Amino acid sequence: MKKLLKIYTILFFGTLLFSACSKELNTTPDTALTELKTFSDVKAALLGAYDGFQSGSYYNNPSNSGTPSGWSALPDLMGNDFVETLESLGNWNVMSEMIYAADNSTVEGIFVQPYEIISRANNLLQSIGKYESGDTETEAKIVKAQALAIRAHAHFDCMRYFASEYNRTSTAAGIPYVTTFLPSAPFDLPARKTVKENYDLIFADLDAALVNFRNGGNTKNNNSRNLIDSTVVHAIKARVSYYASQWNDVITETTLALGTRPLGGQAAYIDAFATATESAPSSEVYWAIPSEGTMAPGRATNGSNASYRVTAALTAVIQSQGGAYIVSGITRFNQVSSGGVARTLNWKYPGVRSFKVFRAGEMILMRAEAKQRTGDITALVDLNQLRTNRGVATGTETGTALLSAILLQRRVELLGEGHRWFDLKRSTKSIVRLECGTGGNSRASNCTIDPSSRSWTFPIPFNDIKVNPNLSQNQGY
Amino acid sequence: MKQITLIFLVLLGNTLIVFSQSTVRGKVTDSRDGMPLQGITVKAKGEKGAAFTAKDGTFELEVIKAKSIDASSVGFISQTVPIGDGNVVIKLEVDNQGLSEVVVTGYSTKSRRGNAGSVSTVSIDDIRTQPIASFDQLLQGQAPGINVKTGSGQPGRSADIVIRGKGSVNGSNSPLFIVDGVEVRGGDFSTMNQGDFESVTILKDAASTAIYGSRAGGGVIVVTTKKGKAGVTKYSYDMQIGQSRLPENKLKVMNTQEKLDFEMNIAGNPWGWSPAEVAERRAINENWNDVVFRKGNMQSHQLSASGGNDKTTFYTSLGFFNEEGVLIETGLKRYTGRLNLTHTEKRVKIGVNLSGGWSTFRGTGEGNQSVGAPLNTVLWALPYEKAFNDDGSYGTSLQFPFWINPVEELKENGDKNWQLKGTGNVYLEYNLPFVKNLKYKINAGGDYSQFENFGITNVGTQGAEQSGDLTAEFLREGSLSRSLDRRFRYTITNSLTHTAFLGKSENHSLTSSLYTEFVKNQGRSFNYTGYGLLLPFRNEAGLVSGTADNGYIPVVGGGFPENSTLLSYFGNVDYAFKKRYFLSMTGRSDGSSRLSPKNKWTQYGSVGAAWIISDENFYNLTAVNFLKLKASYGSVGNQTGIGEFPYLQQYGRGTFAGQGTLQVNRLGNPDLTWEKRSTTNIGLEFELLKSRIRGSVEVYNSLTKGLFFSPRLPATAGGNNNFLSNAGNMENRGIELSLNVKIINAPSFKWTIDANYAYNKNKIKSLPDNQTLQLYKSFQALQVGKPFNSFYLVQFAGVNPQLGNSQYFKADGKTITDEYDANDLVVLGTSDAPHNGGLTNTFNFKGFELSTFFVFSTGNYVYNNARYNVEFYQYTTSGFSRNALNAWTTPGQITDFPDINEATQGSTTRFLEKGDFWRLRNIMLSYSLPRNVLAKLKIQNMRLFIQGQNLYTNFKFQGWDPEVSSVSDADVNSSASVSGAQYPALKSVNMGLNLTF
Repeated sequence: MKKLLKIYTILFFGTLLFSACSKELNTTPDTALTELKTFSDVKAALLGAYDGFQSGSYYNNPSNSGTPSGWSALPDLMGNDFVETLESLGNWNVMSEMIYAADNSTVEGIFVQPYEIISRANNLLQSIGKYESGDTETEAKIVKAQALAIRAHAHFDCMRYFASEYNRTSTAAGIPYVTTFLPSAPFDLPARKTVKENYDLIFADLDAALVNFRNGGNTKNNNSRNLIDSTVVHAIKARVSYYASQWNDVITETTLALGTRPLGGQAAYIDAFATATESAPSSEVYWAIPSEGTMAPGRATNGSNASYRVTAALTAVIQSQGGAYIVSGITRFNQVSSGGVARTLNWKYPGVRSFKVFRAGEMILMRAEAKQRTGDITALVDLNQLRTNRGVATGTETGTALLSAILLQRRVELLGEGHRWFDLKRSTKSIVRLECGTGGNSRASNCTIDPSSRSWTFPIPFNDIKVNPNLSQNQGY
Repeated sequence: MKQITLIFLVLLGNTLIVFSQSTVRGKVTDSRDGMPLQGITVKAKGEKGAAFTAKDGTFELEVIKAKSIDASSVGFISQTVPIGDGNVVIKLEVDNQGLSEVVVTGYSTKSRRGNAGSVSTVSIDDIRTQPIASFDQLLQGQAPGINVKTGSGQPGRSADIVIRGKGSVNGSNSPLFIVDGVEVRGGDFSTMNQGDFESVTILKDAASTAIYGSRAGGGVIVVTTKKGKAGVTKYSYDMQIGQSRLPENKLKVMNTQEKLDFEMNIAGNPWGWSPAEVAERRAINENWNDVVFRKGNMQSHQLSASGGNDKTTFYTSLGFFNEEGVLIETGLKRYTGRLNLTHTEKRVKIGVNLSGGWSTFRGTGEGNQSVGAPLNTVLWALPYEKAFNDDGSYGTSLQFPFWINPVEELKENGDKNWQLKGTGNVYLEYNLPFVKNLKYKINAGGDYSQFENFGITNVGTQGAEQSGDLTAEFLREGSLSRSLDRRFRYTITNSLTHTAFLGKSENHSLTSSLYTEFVKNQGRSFNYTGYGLLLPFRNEAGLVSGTADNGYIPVVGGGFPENSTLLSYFGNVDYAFKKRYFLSMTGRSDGSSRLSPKNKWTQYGSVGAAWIISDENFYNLTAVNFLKLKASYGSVGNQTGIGEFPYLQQYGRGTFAGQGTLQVNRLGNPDLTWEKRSTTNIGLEFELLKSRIRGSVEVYNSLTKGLFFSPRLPATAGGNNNFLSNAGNMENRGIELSLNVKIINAPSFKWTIDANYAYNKNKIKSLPDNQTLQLYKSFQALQVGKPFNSFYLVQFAGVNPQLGNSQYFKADGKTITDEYDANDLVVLGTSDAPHNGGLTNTFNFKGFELSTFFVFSTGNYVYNNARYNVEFYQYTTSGFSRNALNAWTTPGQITDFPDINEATQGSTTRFLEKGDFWRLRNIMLSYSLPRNVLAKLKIQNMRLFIQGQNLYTNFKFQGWDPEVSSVSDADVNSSASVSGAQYPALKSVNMGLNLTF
């Protein structure tokens, strides 16, 4: 046995001789960073938050595979100014027919993506503290301002789909408002806040963004308007106030925004949707999400095989108004499909384009509406200014006729820019499709949607409720 | 080589001449037919002298003092014969058991008799002639407990292999492949030549796999390649040629008459055609399968030579394999070469095994729903439209504009791949001089694979036009992409092994080994896509340089797909007493770079025991001539399939407004640790009626703890939902049976049956945070008590005869509702088949051999997404399922196809189908020339064969084949759905020749 022991000793030490060094186990990634180490990393992380808006769930429409395009094309596809065509592969069919159930993957994408962006903003807000003094102080404040505005904007967009109503003081369920990034506790399960609480937090973030802009200076190197500056924050505040029916705030914020970026003429409107001017857009454009050679926010609504076309009714309105609206860079009429059907197509976003999140046209229309609703007689002045600048005949409407004219102009001016369904949700909650069913040369088959439909509020995604039971489901799902 | 042998013999003669010696003459023959045997080694017992038999079986051997001589050769049972009067006649008997008597574990070789673990040996000789490029496909049905999904008929396609059930949720479930002691990437067998393989061993339980530690979670497949044998050099030529054809698709689409009737009468004439327009289309009836598919020819050739002398042996081969796919333009061409050498000199044995392969693939996209995939567009094509216009140009479709003509896409565009594969190892064994039976071995090996992909979209093709339409105008001008991915892994293993025989009559034997091993994986990849393919070259020379104006700015990417290391220390002790009681113990310590620093190291171990009951004195059951009981318990781990840095929070790159961005694309987990699988195995091996019946029964129970699991995170967490944790347990329990029966064993006629069957029951035992249900994939969920990969759908309850709408069961399974509600989702059957088996019948009659090989698999479900796409209510203007001819149209109509105007709901059991099948995987008739003819022809062996592959498959699944697999699905662990674009399994007939001289 002694001999055996000796052999084992030899075996043991013999093998140790050949053992490799355990330092070899410390490998590091070559294509990923594991923490934000420098201020330039933090700045890159800010752009990373912006990058989230280029997702197919947000403003992009990357292919014909039916990613949500939640805040670019979808609100138009679901509205009543577009009709699904026969060439459509049906990728948004369930959405535009408004027949989604709680497990719909498009709805899920719309719920998830804003929080993805919010988590990126929160992450950099958590690491910016140490740069808010010294050499980097002013720059850090500008970064912080943008991150806060991004956080507010993404929360608001999410709330627009998942809250049942938009009253400023509503106690209806809004969405969770997330202000921390907790990579070590991914299973933090926030509950939904009320709509009122959402508004409070959104406004608080936007106001904090303005304070930081005031202290650090406005966003620099923003010729292409791809970044949020103080004007954009005013525009966001204006839109949020508009949804909350805070008319005086709408007038204040739109006036501030229009003060730095006024409404342009016909050429400015047409240029706003041209690729040639994207590096230095007209004053009409406040904030544009750059295409990076891949974003095609209007893919569903134009090209030779558009999935959605403009309705006959709105076509007639556009044709009667004329001006900048009938220019081939904006609307194209009688586009013959391969099936031989002539249709009207919205041509603002053919091919690769940057998406215009805020424009002067929306501002002046919101101001006109707010003025009209608060009895300010200059509402007509705003409307006529827009009409003049678009080459459309002015009018002399008053009272409800003026309100109708403003709302109609909103449909024409902002067609294809992601507003219509929310406008319906904010107002009548009713859709009657005149071109419906196979005979009407459309794929649409759900011809009437009334205000009682559960679909006016998106379901909280089934999967998210399973993971986070603190999320309450919306009515009807 | 012959000359060298001669010189060698002369030299040998010279050295021996100083002793007094005598010459022994003799002849070696085959005991079966008395024919002379060439190349048999004859040695004087206890002396150095050796000789080989000549062609006529005779030999001359110089002997000094020996009283007897040994005759041996692989394939025959060695014999020792007394010299007697100096003229010796030796009749050698064929060794039928051959290799199956040893178990090759990769690190060592053990006797099958004393092995306590669960291993299956695949007799590769029987299957390597199956006309399939990728060796892993051949393993289907060959052994119990190994579940092989062949996936598709795409030439070169590798199989999905699962051993004893899936044990990981997000980690890898693939087995580890070891070739000559060196790990080889599983997906690369299409560039390796199975003709060079000698043995294939499948290690299943912990006692067998624990020595592989953290790489063995999915079991181990150990391959050894052919080695040369001392003796006369043998030359072999193996060839076969054949043809494969398209099977029948059970997913039927409408022909012209049906489609037009359907559009007019059921779908409401969507295009508003006049009767004249309809009549015009009725005149066209294009059979798209005829233009997109073809008969594919295949041929393979292999030349090999092996031989050597007492000190040096060699095996070398050259192979060529060429297979045309049944889809036009697709195919695989492969060139391989191998050289295996061993040399022994006193205490040292050195060896080298080198192989290289080069293959060219032309493939096509599978397993997707892309409108660009020809395997989809052939299904979605309209029968009343032509593939070619009258002027010979490619037809376009008016009715379905996103559709791309599959013929054009295959002929004009598409991609091409090249793979370069080199594997090899060198080893040195040294018997240490100062201690008896102590051996040192170093084995160093590498596995290099390089994969190049080239894709092209030419100007003017429908593919380019569509990209221009859908994305950016400049894409109309064509594009070209190329990528290169190279990976290298090296493994260095050092070992010391000591064997001791102890006790009075050396009743105790003890083999102890200690090992250290270091494995490093490195990989590098890059890719680019260039635009503006306007010059008349179909390569990079065709690209116009990019400017901001023309937009032809190339997109460049790349990365480091592999960057990890594994360092291990392990040991193994095998103890045997009286060759009747066996005990085996293994311990291993692994350090992996993939896990968080505090959990980098872990320990595994196993213990196994075997008892040959039939050797006991008290044993008197004569009918059962061999009986062995074995049991083992142990654990292995997993650290593969989870990426290289799963524990780190990671920021990835992006671009915004022309500037670089950083964003969190993975949440770190500093607690990430090993996934461990422990297995208990009990088995019984038996032989009845003088070994006429041999078989085994094994039961096992394995539990994986700390599953690698990417839980679905709350949306509010961020991080792209990329988070890996260890959570939950999963159990696999099963039984495996194998049986070999020599039903008739007469000298002139033999009938043998080989059968195997395995049942594996997978069960989720627990989920994180005491949850009972976790969502998983689009159509699946994980529920405690249910198997992994169980479907999660709303149950379809047929069509309401009055209204034509779909009806569903509520979650209770009884109440019927008209409304689809996500709250009615229920957990259903699994996509992993629990029952699998194989059955081979072999008949031998005078040199003729007929074998039939059946495989079967039952108990799984497949979500038929391909059918969904041709039954979706909005796609009536493209190719459509014939099932829709029964679509509901009138009240009172009883049908299972709802009103075509109803929005089709995907997450229902309407599209869930059973995946059961049994198929005649292979039938082969061969004829080996009798020895007397061979002797006249002066060749050693000649065999002719004809075989049929997949000639019959019995299944109900509506598709090309029920064996669908996760080709490009994001997660390889789920093979739940046929997404579409299924490459049909091939039905082929081949004939061939094996010649040795």
